[in-house]
Amino acid sequence: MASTQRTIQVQALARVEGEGAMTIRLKDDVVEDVELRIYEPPRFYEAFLRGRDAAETPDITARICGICPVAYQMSAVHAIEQIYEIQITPTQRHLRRLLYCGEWIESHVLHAFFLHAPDFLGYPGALEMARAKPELAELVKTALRVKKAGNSIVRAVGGREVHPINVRVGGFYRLPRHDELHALLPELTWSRSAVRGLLDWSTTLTYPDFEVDYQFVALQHPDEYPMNGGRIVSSRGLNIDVCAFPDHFAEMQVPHSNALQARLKSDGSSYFVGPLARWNLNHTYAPELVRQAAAAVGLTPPVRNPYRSLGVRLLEVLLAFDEAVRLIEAYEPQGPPTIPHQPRAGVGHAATEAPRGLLYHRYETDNQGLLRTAVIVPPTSQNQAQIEADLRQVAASLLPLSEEEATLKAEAIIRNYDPCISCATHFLKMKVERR
Amino acid sequence: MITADAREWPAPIRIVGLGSDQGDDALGWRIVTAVQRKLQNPAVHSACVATGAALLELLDGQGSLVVVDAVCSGGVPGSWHRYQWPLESLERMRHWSTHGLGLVEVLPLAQTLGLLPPRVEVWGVEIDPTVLHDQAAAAAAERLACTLVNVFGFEGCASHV
Repeated sequence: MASTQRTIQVQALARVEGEGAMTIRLKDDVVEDVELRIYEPPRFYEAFLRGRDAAETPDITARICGICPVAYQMSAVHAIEQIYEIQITPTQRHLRRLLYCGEWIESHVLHAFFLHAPDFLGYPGALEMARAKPELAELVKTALRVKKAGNSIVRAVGGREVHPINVRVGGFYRLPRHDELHALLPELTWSRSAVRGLLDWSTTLTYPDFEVDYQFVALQHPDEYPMNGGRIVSSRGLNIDVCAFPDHFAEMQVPHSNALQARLKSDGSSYFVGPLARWNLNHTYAPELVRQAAAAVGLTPPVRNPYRSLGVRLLEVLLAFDEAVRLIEAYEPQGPPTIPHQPRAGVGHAATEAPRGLLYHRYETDNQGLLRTAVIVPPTSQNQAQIEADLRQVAASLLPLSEEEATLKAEAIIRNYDPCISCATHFLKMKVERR
Repeated sequence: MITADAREWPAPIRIVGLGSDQGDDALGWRIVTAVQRKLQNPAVHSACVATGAALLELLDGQGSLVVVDAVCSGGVPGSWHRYQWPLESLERMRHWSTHGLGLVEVLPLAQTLGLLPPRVEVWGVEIDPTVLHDQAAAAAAERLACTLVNVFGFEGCASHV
C-alpha cells in the first residue's frame, strides 16, 4: 500500500507577536517532525548590553518588547539592585507590584479578547468576531475599557503607557502623588466587576478536550501571588533560589530557529511557564475573591488544558485589579523615590513573572558598574519546546483537515501560550509536510 | 470661531502619531510632537501611540481623526501618502502587523464598534526600512508637520490640502 505523506506549513503565524513559522511533517498518520521556526532575526541584546552602564539596563531591556516592557524593567532592576545591595522601600515595592498589575491587565486582555477568543468562536480575528454579533461587539468594547484601565496604571506609575520611563535602579525617578493614584480607583473598581462578567462569558466557549501532565514552572512567594519575586518552583518538586536558575535550566540552539530553546538540565525535558503554571502552583496565594471566581467558572486547579489559559488569564486580570485597588487604597508616598547607591562589581540574578511567564535576567558588573555579561531568558524561549510537544500531540489529527483548517488548529495551540516572538529572538509561518 | 472650512473637520480633531520613538519608524511621533509645540487650536488634541490597540482606545466616535505614520509601501522615500477613510486598499493589507492589530485592522474594528469618528484620514511619509534617518523622509516629515499646523493649528483652520 502506498504511503501517505503530507507537510502542513504555515508561512506566517497570525495573531502572535513577532515573526515565525511552523512546519509539521506527517507520514502514514505518523508525525515525523514538528518545527516551530522563529526566523525573526536575532536582536543581540545580551551582546550590546556589554560595556553599558548597569543603570541603563531597565530602559534598554524594556525595548525588547512593546507588550511587556515592565517585565524587562523589573527583572533588570532587581538583578542590578542585588549586585549593588540595594534594599528598596515598602512604598517602592508596592509601586512596582502595582506597575506589574497594569502590565498583566494590558497584556492579558489584549490576548484573551483580540487574539485568543476568535479561535473558540471560529472567526479569523477580532474584527470578524465583533462584526458577527452585536453582543460580541459589546464584549470587545468592554474588553477595551478594561484594558484601558490597565494602561492608566502603567501611565500613572511608569510615566507613560508604552515603554514606561519612571523605573530606575534604586527605585523610581518620581513617586506618584496620592491623588494621582486615587483618581484611578473608580475605573479600576468598575473594571474589577466587569472582569467578573467577562469570566462568566468565558464559560460559554467550547474548549477542545486536550489535557497534558505538564511540568509547570513559576515563581512562588511566601506571602503573595508571584510577580516581582520568590523562589522558582515546579509541579514536579523543584524548589530553588533564582540564582540557581542556570544550574537547572539550559538554553539550547536548534537548527530551525533563531530563538534559543530552554529545557531542564536534569533530563532535557520541556516545561511550561505562564499563567497556567502560575495559577496551578500559586492559586492558594490568590485573594479569596479570585479563588471564589475560579471555583464558579471551573478553574480550580489542577488546570491542565492549555486552551483554558484564556480563563486563567482573566482570573489573573481579576487578581491584578483587586491587587491594584488594594495597593492604591493603602498608598502613601513615603520615603525617597530613589535609594542612593554606588556601582560595584558583582553578579546579580532576578526572575519576575512577565504576563507570558518566568523572565530570568543575570548580569555581571565591574567595579565601575559597567556590564561585563548579560543573560536574558524570556518566557517564550522557555515555552518553545513545550509548544512543539503540544503540536506533536495534535499533528495526527490535522491529517484529514484542509490546509486552512489544519493551520487554524495548529495556530490555536500556539496561541494558547501567547508567544512573544520578538522577545524570544532575542517567531510564526506554518508548514505541514505529508509524505 | 469655527469657520466653514473648519466644519469639514468636525471637532474634536485628534492628530495621532503611530509608531515608536526608534529609527525612521519614529517619523509619526516626531511629526505630531512638532505639531504639538505649535498648536493654538483648542479643538485639536494630539497624541503619540505605539500600537493599533492604543489608537483604538483613544477613539469615541466623535470628531475627526488624522493618523500620522511612517509608511513602507515600496514608494520613493520622502514621498507623502494621504488616505481618506473608507479605503478598500487598507482592508486588503490586513494581518501585516504586530499581534494582527495594526492600523489596517483597527480602523474597521473601530467602525464596527461605533468608535470611528465621522472623518478619518491617514497621512504618511514613505520611509526606506533599510536606511536609518533617511534625509528625504526627514525633510518630508518637517514639511508634513508644517502642513498639519497650517491646516489644524488655528481656530478656523483651512482645508486647502
